[in-house]
Amino acid sequence: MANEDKGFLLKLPKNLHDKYKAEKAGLINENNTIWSADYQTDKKHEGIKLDKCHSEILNACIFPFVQHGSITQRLGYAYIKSSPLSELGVKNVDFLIASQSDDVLIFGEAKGKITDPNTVITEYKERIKIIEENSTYISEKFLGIKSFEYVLGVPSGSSLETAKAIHRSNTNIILWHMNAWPDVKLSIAILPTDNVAERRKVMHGNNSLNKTLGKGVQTSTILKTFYHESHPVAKMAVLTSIDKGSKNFTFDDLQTCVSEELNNTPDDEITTITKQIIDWAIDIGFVKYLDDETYKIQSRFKHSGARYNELKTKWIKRKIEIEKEFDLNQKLKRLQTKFLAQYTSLDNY
Amino acid sequence: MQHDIPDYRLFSYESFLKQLSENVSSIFQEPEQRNGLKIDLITAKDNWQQLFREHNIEKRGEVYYLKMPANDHSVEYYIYEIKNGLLMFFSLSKREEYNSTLKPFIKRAHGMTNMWFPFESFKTTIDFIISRYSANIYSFIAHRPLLSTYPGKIRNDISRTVRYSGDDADQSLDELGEIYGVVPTTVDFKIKSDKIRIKNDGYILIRNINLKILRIVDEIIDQAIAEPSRLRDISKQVSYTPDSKWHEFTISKLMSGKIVFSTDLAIPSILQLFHSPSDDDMSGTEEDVELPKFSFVDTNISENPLQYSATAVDEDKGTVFGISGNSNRLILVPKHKTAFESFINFYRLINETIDTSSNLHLFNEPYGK
Repeated sequence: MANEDKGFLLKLPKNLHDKYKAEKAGLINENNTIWSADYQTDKKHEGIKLDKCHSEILNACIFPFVQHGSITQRLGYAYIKSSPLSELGVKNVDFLIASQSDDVLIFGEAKGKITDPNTVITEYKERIKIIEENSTYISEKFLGIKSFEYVLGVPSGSSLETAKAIHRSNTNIILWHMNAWPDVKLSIAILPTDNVAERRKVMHGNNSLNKTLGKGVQTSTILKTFYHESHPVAKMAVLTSIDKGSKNFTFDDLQTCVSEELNNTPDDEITTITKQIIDWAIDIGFVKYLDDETYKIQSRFKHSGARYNELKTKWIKRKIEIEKEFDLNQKLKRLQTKFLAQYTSLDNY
Repeated sequence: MQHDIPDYRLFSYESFLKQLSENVSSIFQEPEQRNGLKIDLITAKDNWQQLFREHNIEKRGEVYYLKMPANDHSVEYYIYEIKNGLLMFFSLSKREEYNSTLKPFIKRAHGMTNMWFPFESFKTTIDFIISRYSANIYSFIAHRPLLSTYPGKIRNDISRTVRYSGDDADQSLDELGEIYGVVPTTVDFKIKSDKIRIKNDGYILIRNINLKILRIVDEIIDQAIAEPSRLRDISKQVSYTPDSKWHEFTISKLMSGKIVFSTDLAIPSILQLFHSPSDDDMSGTEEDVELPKFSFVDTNISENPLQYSATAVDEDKGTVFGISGNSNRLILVPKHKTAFESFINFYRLINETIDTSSNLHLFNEPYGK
């Protein structure tokens, strides 16, 4: 930006140059102070934490549909993928589960933290609308299955308020909640009403699934390291162990890892995400390109745990750098506009 | 006496033991018996022979012959497969030679690990040897990790190692266990005129080779392998693999594992577990305890009630798996580059540093001891 000043200064009368330069220096100073404050780093940490909270609920919703057990074996339900409409470029719900025997698709959304249940429901209704708009495409892709169910997974603490919001909104969103103690369990929430028909509306079509989830199934907050929509740090976390057993790693090594994380995702999407992870990691200085599709981890540490913390710090630092630069540019633009306006108004005088 | 040497291509295990005791120099090229016969018990994957492809492993009847290059010479091993993937490696080599050949190989190979005995199974084996052969313990090493849940009477918050020699070592082991809460890791036995050493990581040393002691060791191993065999079976099932096809979609099957604690864990145990080993402080203490190396990514711990999670990385094998748990159990969720032995070794880490009576199961197994 500093060099771009030259062109600007040419437009400005010389007697305003010093004033402009002084104000600009003040702005840079102020910007430095704002962006070096601790809360900037805290905010970034908070973002990573929120994403983790979301992933934990998401994992808890999916785990019983992957783990060998009554839901997968006896009831025949299976987790298919995350971000089910990602190949259409549509940002939608978090996950898709299918039952081959019942001909039903369960679309699911997970919320790690709920501040306003009404907003959550309104947003979800929008997403359901998009799913229904694409129902022909979905149905063709999934062997003619036309019956869709919609699930919202929340921590048990938010369950009651969310159930009330669902009831008020009169939608057919089925609510699951995760209990953390004494065992981590996933259960179906019952709507706070005595009206059987209303209750029925937010239950699964399969009664055995209702019963199983009614009792609660053991689950885990740990399953996948990341999903389609996860935070860049969560995605880059797989790099902390990618080179174990050999000195460097290849594009294919990472690609394998990415495809293990994202079930049933088309190859071109996997390649795009793999490239993106490498680009981010190179940008923050965590990975170095060697040659022949070979990369090296740039870390002071050998052990994955320490590497992860370094990765997080590097990402936050870089992110703040970018935002700081962007912010300064915006401020300088405004300053220039202000000076030009002053000059023009003086001119008019 | 050339005619006494059988054709090694036809070795039965029986004739191998016989030859070993009668004419060791006919089967090992190294002529001298250097401080006795060493047996390393190893847990391996089913088709373990593949791991030694580059070493020209040679089948000699019921046993295999393996030569591994050391600095200026080769180190010889004979391998006998007791049952699926449970192996005995016989050698006359010095421990330094093992340390520069088989040990680093096992550390890196995907599909094998030293056969470790959890404390309770090791204790059963010790009791078996004493009662079955009227054996005496004349020396032992016993250890107490910092946060062990094993009961002791004195200063339970101290990590300690006891090295003891004496004719009363049998009783001392029990007494020291009771008072100082130490559990044995290495035990030296006298069985009549024979001496053997057994370590909880599957190392057996026979001081003087003779057929009688070889048969005794065989019986001991037969008794001891029940638990390592169970651990192998369980950890081999812990996996996350594509299981079936549903048209264009792959349905993956997850088999998680679970470690059930014998007593309620408190937060210091988990803090200690997650305290990732630093790059410069990874070595075990002397010859005795060398623990598996794991590090933990993105750790999370909360108290009241205790809950924790992390991604665990086996620093040697590269296996990546998730762990999440509370005060009475911990779940193991496989993620990437899964080597079954990583789960055994992680369980070992828990067993040897936190809860000597914890147990490894599959996620779905009903638990409780």
